[in-house]
Amino acid sequence: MIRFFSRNPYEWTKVSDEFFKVIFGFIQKNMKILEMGSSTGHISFKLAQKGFDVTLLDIRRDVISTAREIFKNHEVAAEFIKEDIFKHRAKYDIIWNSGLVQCFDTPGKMRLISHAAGLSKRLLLFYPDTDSAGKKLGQNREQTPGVGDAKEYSVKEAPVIFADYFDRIHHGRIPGRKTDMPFDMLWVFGDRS
Amino acid sequence: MTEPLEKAENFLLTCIRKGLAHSFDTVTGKWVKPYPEVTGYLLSYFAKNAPDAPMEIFAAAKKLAGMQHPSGGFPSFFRHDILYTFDTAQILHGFASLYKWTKENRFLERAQKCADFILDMQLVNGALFPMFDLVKNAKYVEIKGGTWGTTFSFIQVKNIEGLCLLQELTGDDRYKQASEKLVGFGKKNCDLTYTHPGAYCLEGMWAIGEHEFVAKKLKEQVIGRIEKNGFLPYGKDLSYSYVSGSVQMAILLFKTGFKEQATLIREWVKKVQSNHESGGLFQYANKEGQLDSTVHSEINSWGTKYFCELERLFL
Repeated sequence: MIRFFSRNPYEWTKVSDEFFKVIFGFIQKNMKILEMGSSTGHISFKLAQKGFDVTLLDIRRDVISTAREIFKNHEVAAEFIKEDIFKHRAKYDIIWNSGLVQCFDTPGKMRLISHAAGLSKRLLLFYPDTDSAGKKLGQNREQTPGVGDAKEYSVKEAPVIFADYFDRIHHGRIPGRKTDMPFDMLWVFGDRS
Repeated sequence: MTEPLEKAENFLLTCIRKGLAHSFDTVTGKWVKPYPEVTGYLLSYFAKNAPDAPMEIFAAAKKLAGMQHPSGGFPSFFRHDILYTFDTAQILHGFASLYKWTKENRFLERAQKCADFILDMQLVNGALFPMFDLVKNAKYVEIKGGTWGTTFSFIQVKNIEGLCLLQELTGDDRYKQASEKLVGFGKKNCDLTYTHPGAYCLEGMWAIGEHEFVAKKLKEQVIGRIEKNGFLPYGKDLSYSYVSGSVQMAILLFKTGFKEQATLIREWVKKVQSNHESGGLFQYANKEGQLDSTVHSEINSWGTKYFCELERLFL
């Protein structure tokens, strides 16, 4: 179901709706929330609209500028940071991302999760089930991870890596039939608060 | 059939009330803790050992079938918003055993649903998510501060028993592959600090043919802990035994050829049984085989079931 569309300048899909429901299950109003690799941040926009303390971070200047503009035009407050996540040092109550972790090989995944776990006691990642029959893996090694057809790897070990950094882990599946996508999406949430 | 065995089997059939196996609280005189998991044990036991089908077992199977979540998983008696992988695997074994015995497809279908749930819970390193959180609609694990049923635990290796039986019945190699991954996990993580959970791990290893591994573990970490009268403390420096754990170890000792040690434990366990008229075994007992109430004062079905299995080894 598409909701809030008239107040949301972004395209709001069934995937957005499913992600939002998962995120909403793990956040509270007093939390400082970082979306790393946010792109233009359509889900963060909705969270900020609802009064959450949201920060968007992306390595690409153009998408962060676009996000800032959209938020400003709709008088929605948030922080915007153009930076490589691996150079970022601020602390948060929860960090989340969609579509990034599958773009790293195993050592890269470990580095990403380790770094994010150092910034926050809670981490939530969404990613495609790369082993789904309907999932065509990105192949472009030159592309920025998480963007376009950037090279993608198996995600099977992601929850195993989480076990090294968190005390409790939830691991969920969003079936493709719910989102009209040809493959399932997965998510993993770690917490050591 | 020996008298201790007959009395113990009678206890098992009596403990099934409204379709679920209960423990008996010796203080209040009430039947408590209706456990789906251990009801699965009783399906397995009677399917294998009873010449005629006790009606209680089919009533229990019907009850369990009605409790199965669409995903295939089962709750425990204390939480209905969580499905438990270990519990589901024991019920899988029960349904698969009933199918092997009766050839009724309804039991096989239930077992396969259990297996679907379990296979979905497995990680690439062989570990199994121990829980499915129905509120979050997600697998769930407590890495720190959890118990054997809530962590990435070696007790899940016992699930091999059900998966191997299902592979034997269906020829579906997915069950074998999942079992082999559990073996790898078990070899890295098997922990015999406490008898009961440690024995669960060894039972799974035994089921898939890792006999040398089991024998080595028993020889190096268990035999030396058995006292002269057969008392085997639950853990180091504890004054009581988790009776089921002792019986489980006795069965494994018997199977691996350590019959003298198995006999010693058996004699102590028979003393435990003789200390209550029900024929069931206290969950916890002291060195003399009397009730130990440090944790609670219950007689449970799983320890009694294992005792029946041990007695049958000596028939």
